[in-house]
Amino acid sequence: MLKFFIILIVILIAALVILKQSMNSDEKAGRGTALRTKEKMSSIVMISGIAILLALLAFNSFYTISEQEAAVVTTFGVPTAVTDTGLHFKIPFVQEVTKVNTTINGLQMGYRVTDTGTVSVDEESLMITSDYNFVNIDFYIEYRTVDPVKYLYASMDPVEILRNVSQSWIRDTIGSYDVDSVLTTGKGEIQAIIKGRIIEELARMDIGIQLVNITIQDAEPPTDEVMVAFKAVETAKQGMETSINNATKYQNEEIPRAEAEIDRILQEAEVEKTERINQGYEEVAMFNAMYEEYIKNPTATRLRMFYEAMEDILPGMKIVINSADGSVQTIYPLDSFTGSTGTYGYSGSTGNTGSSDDTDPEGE
Amino acid sequence: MKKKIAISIVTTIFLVIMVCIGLNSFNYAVDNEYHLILRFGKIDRVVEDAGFYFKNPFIDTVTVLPKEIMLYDIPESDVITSDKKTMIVDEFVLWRITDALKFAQTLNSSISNAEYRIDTVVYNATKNVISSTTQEDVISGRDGLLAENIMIAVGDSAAQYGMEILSIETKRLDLPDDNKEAVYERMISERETIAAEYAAQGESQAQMIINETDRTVQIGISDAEAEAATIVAEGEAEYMRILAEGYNSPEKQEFYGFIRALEAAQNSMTGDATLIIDADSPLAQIFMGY
Repeated sequence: MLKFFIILIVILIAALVILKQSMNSDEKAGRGTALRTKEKMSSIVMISGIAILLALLAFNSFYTISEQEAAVVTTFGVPTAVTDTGLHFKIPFVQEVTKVNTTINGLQMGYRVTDTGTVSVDEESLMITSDYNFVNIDFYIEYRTVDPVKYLYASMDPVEILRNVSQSWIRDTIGSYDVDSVLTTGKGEIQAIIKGRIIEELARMDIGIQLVNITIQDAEPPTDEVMVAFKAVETAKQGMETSINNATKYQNEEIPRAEAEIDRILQEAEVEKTERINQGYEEVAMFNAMYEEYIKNPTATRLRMFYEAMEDILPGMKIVINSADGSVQTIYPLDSFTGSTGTYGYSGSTGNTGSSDDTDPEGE
Repeated sequence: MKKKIAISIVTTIFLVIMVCIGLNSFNYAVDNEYHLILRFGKIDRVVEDAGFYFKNPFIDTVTVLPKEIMLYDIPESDVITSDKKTMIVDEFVLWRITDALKFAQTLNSSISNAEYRIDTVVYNATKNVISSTTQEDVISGRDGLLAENIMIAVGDSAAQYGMEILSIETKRLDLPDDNKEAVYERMISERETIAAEYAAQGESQAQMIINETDRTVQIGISDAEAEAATIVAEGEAEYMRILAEGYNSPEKQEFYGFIRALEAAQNSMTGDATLIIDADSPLAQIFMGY
C-alpha cells in the first residue's frame, strides 16, 4: 500500500511538471488559448489530485475497535497489540491494522450440526478405551484469543492446531479409562484431565489462544447392537434389585407375623398355666368346703354321697353280684331307692331267701 | 526551446526512474516471515526480525519463508505392535523453520519438500517405537509417553534441514476395520455375560434372604413351642403342689379318695353297662342288706 501511495504522488508530480513545462513553452510561444486551457487543466489536476491524495490519507489514518475485538498494528511489519475499544489513529500507509476476534468461539469434535440435523464424524468420535472396547464420544471445545499478536504471527493456523492437539489428548486420556468409566462414572474426571492437558500444551506452544472449556456432549457405545447389549445390562441390574427387594419384602412380612405367632403361643401357654393353677385352687377350695361339711358328720355324709352317686349310676344298669361261693346273682335295674315301682329281684341261691316280692322296694 | 522541453522531459523521466529505484531499495518484513535476500540467485543474507530494511534495488530479490509454527497432518498409516497386532495411526506434526538459510539450501525453500522429509522421518520413528511396544501399552501407555518416545527417536534429524520439530502427536489410533467388527462382537458378548451375572446374583441373594427368613421363623416358633410346654408344665407342677398342699392330712386324703372313686364311677358307668361286683364289696352290701 505504501508503495502504491508513493507512486500516486510521483505520478501526480510528474503530470504537473510536464504540464508546467508545456505551459512554459506555450507562454514563450505565445499560444495564449492553449496556455489558458493548460492553466485550467493544471489547476484541475492539482486540486483533484491533492484531494484524492488527502482522501486516501484520511481513510487510511484511523480505525475503530469494538467490544469483541482487538487490533494488531504493524509499523513496517513490526506488530503491536491495541485492545482499547473506540477510535484510534495511525500513520497512514506506514502502519497497517488487522483485527482479531476476541469472543469465545466453539469447535465441534466428533459431530457437526448441519441444517438437517446432527451428523456424527466417526473419525473424530470413535476411539478405543483401556479395555479394548470402542466408544463413540463427542466433545464441545470453547476457546478464545488472548494474545492477538501471537494469534496472527506465532503459528500458521492456531485453531487447527487446537483441534489437532485436542484430538490427541482426548484419545490419550480415553485410552487410560475402561469403557464403563467413560460411559458413566468417569466423565467429570476425564473432562478435567483433558482440559488440563490441552491448557498446558497450548501454554507451551504459546500460540495466542487459550482453551476456555471442553465438555463431553455424548458418550455412547459404538453401534446400535452394542448399545442394545449395554442397555440389557442395565435392565439386568434393575431385575437383580427387584428380586432382592421382593425377598426383603417377604422377610419384612414374615418376621413380624412369626413374632406375633410366637407371642400368641407364649400367651396361650401362660393362660393354660394360670388356668391350671386356678383350677387347682378351685378344686382345693371346693374340696375344703366339702370337707368342712364332712367333718361335721362324716358317716352320714359318706352315706349320703354314696347314695346320690348310686342314684345317678344305677338306673339302666345291670348288676351282677359275685358271691363268695362262686354263685352269681343278678339284680335287675333299679329305678331308684326312694320309691318307684321298679322291680327288683334276684335269682340264684344264697343264704338269704328273699322273696320275689315286687311291691315295696323299701321293705326287705 | 526544444532543448528546454527535452531537458524537462528527461528530468521527469530521470525523477521517475529514481523513484522506482528508491521504491525498490527497501522492504519490510512482517513478524511471521523470514526474508531471504538473493543476489544474482545466490543467497546473500536473511532478514529474521520484523521491520524495515534496505536492499539493493533490482539486484536483490526476496524470497519469503514462514517463521511461524506450521501444522502438518501426516496421512494415516499402518503400524504393527510388538505383539504383532496391526493398528492404524494418524499423526500430526508441529514444526517450524529455525535456520532459513539451511532450509533454502537443503530443501530449495519448498514447504512441500519439507513436509515430505518430515513424513519420512516421523513415519520411521513411529514405526520403530510402536514395533517395540505392546498394543496395550500403545493404547494406554499414556500421559504422552508414546509421543515422547517418538520425539526421542526422531531426535534432531530435522536440524540438518534448518527445521525444528516441536511435537509429534497421535490424533488417532485405530484398529483395522475387520478387527472392529470382532471387537463389537466381543463387546456384545461381554455385556451379555455381565447381564447374566447380575440376574444370577439377584436370584441367589433373593433366595438366601428367603431361606434365612424361613429359618428364623421356624426356629422362632419351635423355640416358642418349647417354652410354651415348659410354662404349661410349670402350671401342672404348681397344680400338683396346690393339690398336695390341699390334701395334706390322711383324713383329707382318704375323703378325697372316696369322692374321686364316686366321680370315677359316675363318669364311667353310664347307660346299659353291666356291673360285676364281689359279694363283699360295699356296693354289694347294699343289696345284700346293709
